[in-house]
Amino acid sequence: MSEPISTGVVRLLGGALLFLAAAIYAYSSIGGDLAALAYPNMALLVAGGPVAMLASSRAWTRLGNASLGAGVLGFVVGLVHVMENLDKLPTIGAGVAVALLPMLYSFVLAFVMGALGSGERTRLNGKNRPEKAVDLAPYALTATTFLLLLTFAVLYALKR
Amino acid sequence: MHSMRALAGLVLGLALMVVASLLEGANLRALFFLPAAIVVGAGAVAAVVIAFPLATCGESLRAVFGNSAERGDARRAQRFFAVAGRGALLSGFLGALLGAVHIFQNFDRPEAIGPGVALALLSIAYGFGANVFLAQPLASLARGKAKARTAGGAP
Repeated sequence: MSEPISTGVVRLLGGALLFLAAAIYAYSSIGGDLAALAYPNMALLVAGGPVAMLASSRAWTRLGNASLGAGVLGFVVGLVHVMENLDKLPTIGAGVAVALLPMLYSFVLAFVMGALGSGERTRLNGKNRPEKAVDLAPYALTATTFLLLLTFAVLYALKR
Repeated sequence: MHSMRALAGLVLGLALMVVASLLEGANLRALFFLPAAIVVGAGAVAAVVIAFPLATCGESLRAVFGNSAERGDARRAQRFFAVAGRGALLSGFLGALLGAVHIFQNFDRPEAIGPGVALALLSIAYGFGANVFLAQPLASLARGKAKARTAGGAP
């Protein structure tokens, strides 16, 4: 606990910025549209996960797990939205892209929270003993789900 | 000596995989994609920077490859490499999501699908590989050192 809290905050912000900068670089280098990544409604939904978890636990890794759960929930909500508006959307793809955004937000949140929770005990995270690691099962589930989606998308696009 | 043997095993195993995929006819140049590598590398570094004070990086490397690690240092090195590996894994999944979003956004343009699939699949592969073949061996090496200190008595 020797490190001053200001150093800890700098580390936290620096790490998060590095992570986001790498993600933004990769996305724009494959020709992606950055404005399409912003979707405040779903960001609110994902933020609701850790906020709800605060009622029962203040361990960082649990908050990260809760945001992962909220991300999967947002994915399902987005997919249902796509199904409802099938005839109004320009393509199905645009709707599914929006449905994937909450999972993206929740991955960023869970990354930062998981790193905070499983790291060394400092004034920044202020915990008494090392926490359990972030549960990887939701990742496996979501990864499988959208890999399936990806496969279907590629097959569909190639067929046309 | 122990850590050198572990490193030799690591290099040998990776070389075996590369040779086997070359024999199978894989194109190694197609397996390298800089944006995916940057996402995964930055993810590992960012996780470590958030989780540990900056001095811990050097201390952990010394604890694994040096000969005079305290038990606490070895334990911390184990957590250090575990956190780095998990960061690489999770940022790999994030890169996969970014690629998937790109594909779905440009659903009607087939030329956008190639880079999207490359980012999606290769960042999963890099993240998984960095975790399983780099971070986990180092973490278990550190764990072995911590156990040896406990069993031997003298630190």
